[in-house]
Amino acid sequence: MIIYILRRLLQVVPTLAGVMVVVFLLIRVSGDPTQLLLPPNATPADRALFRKQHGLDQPLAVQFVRYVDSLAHGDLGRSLVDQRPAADVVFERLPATVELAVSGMAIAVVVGIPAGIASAVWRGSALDRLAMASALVGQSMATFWVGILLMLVFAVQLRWLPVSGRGGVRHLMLPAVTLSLYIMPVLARMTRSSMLEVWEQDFIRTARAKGLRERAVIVRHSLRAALIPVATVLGLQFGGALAGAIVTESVFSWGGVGTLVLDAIYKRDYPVVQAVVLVIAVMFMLVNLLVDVGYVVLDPRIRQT
Amino acid sequence: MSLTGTLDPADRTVLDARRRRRRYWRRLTRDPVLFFGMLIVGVVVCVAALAPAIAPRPYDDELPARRLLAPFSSYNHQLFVLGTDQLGRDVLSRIIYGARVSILVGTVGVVTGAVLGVGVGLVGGWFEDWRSTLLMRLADIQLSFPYLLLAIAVMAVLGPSLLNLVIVLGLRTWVGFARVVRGSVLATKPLEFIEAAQATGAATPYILLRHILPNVIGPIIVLVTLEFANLILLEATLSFLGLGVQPPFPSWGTMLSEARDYLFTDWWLSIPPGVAIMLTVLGANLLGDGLRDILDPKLM
Repeated sequence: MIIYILRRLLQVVPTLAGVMVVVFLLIRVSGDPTQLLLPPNATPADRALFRKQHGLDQPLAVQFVRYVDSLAHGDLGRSLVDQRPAADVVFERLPATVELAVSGMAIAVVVGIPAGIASAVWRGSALDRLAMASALVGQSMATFWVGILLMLVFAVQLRWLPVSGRGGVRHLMLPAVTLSLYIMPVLARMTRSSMLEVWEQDFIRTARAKGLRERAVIVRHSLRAALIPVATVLGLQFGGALAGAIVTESVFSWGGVGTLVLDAIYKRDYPVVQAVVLVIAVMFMLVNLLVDVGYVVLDPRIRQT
Repeated sequence: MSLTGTLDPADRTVLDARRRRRRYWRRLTRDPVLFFGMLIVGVVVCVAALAPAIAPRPYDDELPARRLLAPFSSYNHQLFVLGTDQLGRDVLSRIIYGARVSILVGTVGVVTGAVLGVGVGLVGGWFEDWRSTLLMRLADIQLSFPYLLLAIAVMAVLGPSLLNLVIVLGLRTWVGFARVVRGSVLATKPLEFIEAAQATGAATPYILLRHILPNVIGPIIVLVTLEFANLILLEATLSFLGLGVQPPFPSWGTMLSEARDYLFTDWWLSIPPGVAIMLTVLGANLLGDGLRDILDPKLM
């Protein structure tokens, strides 16, 4: 088990290196980084000075080593707008995004997984068809449009909830529901098909054959096995939740990293863009690592390999 | 078997093939999921292709005097079924032209991704050495970014244009194709007919394309339709955020982003583009689900 976890930890290294290369190249791919990293009205002398100061006149390999070195010291560059460290700017906004992503996922789990289980238990029933049809339609709707529709109905017409901004639970409700509707369809469909697959297995037939009540078969024997693949999807969907959060934030003017990155793009503040991409990618990687380690606890079969 | 027992083997294969084709065709027309999928996608493709012929007016026909007309209102004895936007342009015509962006970007994006991914999958599955490891690591790295964020960052650096959009969308899908194809190559490679082909001196590219690729064509077709749906959503999202198709050319995402400013006064502007996106994506999803049932029962 420990060997498995260690091996999984080692796998993070090349991926992390790859993420750093991508983020590093992102700014340099357009040719002259000073065009992106300095204000548009900078003089050629400014640019030359900046290049020298930041080592941009060095070969790419040297630059990369320095970049990794500064990352290791927690330096993600400086915002061009207010000269603050980009890391501070990002981490200040991160809690808002995490709050939104976690509540969106929580709603999706609380509704989506039971819906998937019910669909599987009463397979072919009206309930199953309704749930799967809604999942398909939900999957086909653009997140930002769902947000706009919810806003239109509950904030503009009915005036039950605030239109936008960040505050208490009332402010959180519409964005969280919007985001949850982005994740829920996949979760419900995955749970359903995973349950149905588990029921084909021998140990379920044994459980039924020894006369267990259907309830016990479902709850004690099927659920645990069926939820393992669902857990993987949940880990992967966390990335989806973060991506969905960017769009949701922009619809509801929610002050998280999503609005930060869009704002930074608008103001051409590329060090901040770079920092957001790096921080989100690392977070996503860590969550998937946790999911994989969590498996070992859930699934005894993995421990043996 | 008993029916064809008297025929010689060559005729039998022809008959089998014909019967199989007829069975496929029957399922294509009878299965409601597949039928509606094909219908919706077919209609949207036709609308996109015939846009100049069926749109009531040009997409950039501005007239401040008739701005923000409600649906079904008339101006100068002309009916505007879906009303007009903030510049007085006909919403229906813009929806019709918007189909062009979705279909074009979706198709080019998915073809780029499929070609790239199939190539990577074939190479990565056949050569089980450093080439395979390298390619699959690349796939892992790409999957470790929420792609929308990467797309936003790349579009921001490269600048929004149709070409850049197609590149960014094309790179989105290759991983899925690579994984499916690689898995199939790994499963097919040890089989006897591959060994037989090698024994007759067939070159590796020939074996890959003639003997291995046909086995995986079903899942590829399914993936094409499902990824097509995803790309249309991604394009709409990028355009909504201002990083996709640039005005005045209409994209459904751009239209929604403009409509958002009029949510309090002219809310009906926010409905048609969203419905257009939903129907098109739903059609492609239905098509994909239906095809999957026929072509590849195993794929989730």
